[in-house]
Amino acid sequence: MLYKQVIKQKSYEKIVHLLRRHPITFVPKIMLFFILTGVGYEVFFLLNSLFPQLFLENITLAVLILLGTAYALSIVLFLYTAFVNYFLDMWFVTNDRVVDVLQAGLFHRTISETDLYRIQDVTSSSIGIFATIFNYGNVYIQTAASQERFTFYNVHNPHKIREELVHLAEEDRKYHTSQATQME
Amino acid sequence: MSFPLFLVLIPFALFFIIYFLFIIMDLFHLVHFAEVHFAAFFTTFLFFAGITYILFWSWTLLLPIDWQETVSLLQNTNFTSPNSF
Repeated sequence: MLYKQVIKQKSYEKIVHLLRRHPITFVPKIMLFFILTGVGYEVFFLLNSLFPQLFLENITLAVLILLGTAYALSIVLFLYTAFVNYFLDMWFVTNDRVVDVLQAGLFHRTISETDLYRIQDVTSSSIGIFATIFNYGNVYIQTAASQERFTFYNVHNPHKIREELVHLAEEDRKYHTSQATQME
Repeated sequence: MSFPLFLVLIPFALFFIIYFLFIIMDLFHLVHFAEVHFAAFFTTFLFFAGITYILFWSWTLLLPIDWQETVSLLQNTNFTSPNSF
């Protein structure tokens, strides 16, 4: 599906930014995957050295192979699902609005949006050694809408995004003010 | 109690059905909620390569097992009263 369909892009609308979490924030998931893989190997070697007779009998060997396969398949699926959640968790900044697509889990998806002219203030923060080195952080958007606060988590270049959001909000506010003046 | 060894494959088959449903859900999400992207394509490729590798080794290790063998549980267990006090 095209992103313009995901956000139901209007005819005059242009996507200025498509933001995702910085790829470095996915590294802990990859490390956990390797740790879990290591645990699997460790359990195998422990069983092999402590209870070698388990690998000699037909039934225990079959059960152990099946359990090992299920474990290995599960951790691969865990990593893939984590990637899908990471990949689908995104924020769109257009010249008209901000759309927050939150993919918290495979069966948990929330989409919220706010008009740029409703933005009251924008704050960006980059906290921690990795965030400073790899230049990622959070952008907090305070709005006058029903959902008061939007947060872009761990996006690349948060301070630049804040500046651009302020600029876009200003432009949109000017546009809406001129529209209101024309109506009068 | 005795049963043929191939019955232990039934829980694994159930696991695999659920596993397959999760794969379908993941792929559906990727296709339906995002545009085609190299990262998504590459990760999906790696995922399926990993599954193929695991299943290949599993198949190779399970091949010599005689699934028709009858497994007897509790065959040599004698439940005797503790009369040695």
